Amino acid sequence: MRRTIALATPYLTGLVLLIALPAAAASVLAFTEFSGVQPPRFTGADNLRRLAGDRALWRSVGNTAIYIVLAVPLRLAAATAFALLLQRHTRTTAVARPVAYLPTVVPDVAYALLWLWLLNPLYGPIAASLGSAGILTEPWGARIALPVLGAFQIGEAFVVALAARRSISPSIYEAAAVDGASPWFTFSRLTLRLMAPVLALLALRDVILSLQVNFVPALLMTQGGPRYATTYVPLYVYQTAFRYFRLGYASTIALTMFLLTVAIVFVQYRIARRWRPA
Amino acid sequence: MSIRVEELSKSFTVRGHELSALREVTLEVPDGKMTVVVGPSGSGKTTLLRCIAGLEEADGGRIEVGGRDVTTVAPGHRDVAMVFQDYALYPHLSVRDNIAFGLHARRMPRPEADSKTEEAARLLGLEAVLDREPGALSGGERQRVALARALVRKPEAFLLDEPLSNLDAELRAQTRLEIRELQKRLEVTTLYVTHDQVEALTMGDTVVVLRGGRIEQMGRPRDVYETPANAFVARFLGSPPMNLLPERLLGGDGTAVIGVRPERLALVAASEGRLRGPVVAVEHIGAEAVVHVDVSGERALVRCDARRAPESGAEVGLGFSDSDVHRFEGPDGRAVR
Repeated sequence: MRRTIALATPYLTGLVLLIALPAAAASVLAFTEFSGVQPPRFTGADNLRRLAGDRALWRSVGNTAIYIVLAVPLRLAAATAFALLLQRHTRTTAVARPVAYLPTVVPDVAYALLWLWLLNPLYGPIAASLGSAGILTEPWGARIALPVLGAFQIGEAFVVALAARRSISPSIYEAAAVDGASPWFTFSRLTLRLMAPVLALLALRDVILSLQVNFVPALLMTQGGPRYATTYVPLYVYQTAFRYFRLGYASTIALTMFLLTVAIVFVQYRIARRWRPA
Repeated sequence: MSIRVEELSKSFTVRGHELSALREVTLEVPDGKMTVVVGPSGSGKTTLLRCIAGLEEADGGRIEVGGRDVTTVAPGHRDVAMVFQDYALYPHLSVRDNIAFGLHARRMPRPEADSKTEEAARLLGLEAVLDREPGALSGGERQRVALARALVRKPEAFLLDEPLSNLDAELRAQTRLEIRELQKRLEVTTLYVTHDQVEALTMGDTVVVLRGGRIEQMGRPRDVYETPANAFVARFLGSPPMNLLPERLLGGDGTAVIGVRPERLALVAASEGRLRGPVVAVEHIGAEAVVHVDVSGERALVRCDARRAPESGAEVGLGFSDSDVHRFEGPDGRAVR
């Protein structure tokens, strides 16, 4: 037991210093007014009342919902499609699998800046070839662009989907072939249903991921614009805290988001228990 | 409807080496009959079945099902059904949906598919488990679901790939009989693959012995057992296998090998035997015993009544009649009469 504690100490220290203490501090700050300069002043439930009437916040929640609705199916479809395309062991897939994972390894900032260059309305090659159709300059363009660029960073979901596909016994596919099943029938009745528990988990994980992952591109590429179209919740928290120096209120929003995430994790846990992979 | 296979060849490339799995195999399963293909592992028997099902593409030759050339036809359009060694049931579907899968895949209207599914389930005694998933079934039930799934489409021909190998001994013996009875009752043309010589001898109208992708012998089980075409077939069919002894032990001067089945050897007094030697081991298998006798350095096995088995170390003689002696000559051990 003593050795267990000794071995866990480095990790636990980090956990306490970097996660638990700031989280505890934020839960306290959530009920204060705090500019970062003057000492925090306890304001009771004021921040919560403000939360309810904050139209900018609810707009950012709406933006996040739009992001999730576009990004999660896109990322999941891409991960599944790559998994099905690359599930065979051949020389081509041996090369293609790492390539499919590659965008995930690129640091977020570099990745966002690369896309900013590609989509730049003045000289970006993609924007230029589309005749500067407003990809980052119009709200709808930015709302689509950010989920799309996220759809390339699917390495982990791809690996999990690949494992799920490869765990299906090949003889089932032979039985289906002898049974006269068309490729679509086989895909919809066998592959998709047998992968469903894993895909459901991936979808939930991706929802949680999507609550956070849009921060870097929204900050670096669009700065929440145009017309607040990409001001997602994480960016809104960041702006509230470090642009308007309302650290107390920012903590309230962060805490609310945390509770929302806990609720989603709970749903995920329930689904994982009900849907055991066959 | 018959299955005809003509000069079928198939080879695989494994790590740069070409391995012939089938070498110009020709055979026919007559309409409504059951042919059992038997051979050791790697003899090509499963490859043969998979080629007929369309799961492997043959390198050469021709496959006909019900008189129709299906050599290049997709598996689903060959009108054959296959039972896989591991059953290959769809794990997420109920027994009902497993059986009906092929009907749904062919867009058969629901009511018709349902009644056919229930008919197949009744035939195999699966009515009680129709709504269960394969994971909740016993090995024997899974095996019957695999059979029902094959039966329900009323295919031209049945292909069974070692369907009993995952069952325990008692169930295997029982299912062996059931499959044979079902096949006779439905008169469905069946090709059955096994490595088990008991299944081969008890189940088939015809037995085909395969080795190294080549047919060693084909015929009625009784005939193949009684008059094996060569030393391999003689040893492969029968348990314990046929005794093969150099001819010189009987006073001959040739290089031929003589064969006598263990049940055709009689234990007699050492002085009366045509061969003699000490007993080196006795295996009791219930009613019978297998007695190992050392005959001038060669091991001869005798099957006898367990109550009359001699003790180890006893000197015994072996008696047999000339009509029970097989002669095998040449490098491939061809039988000569």
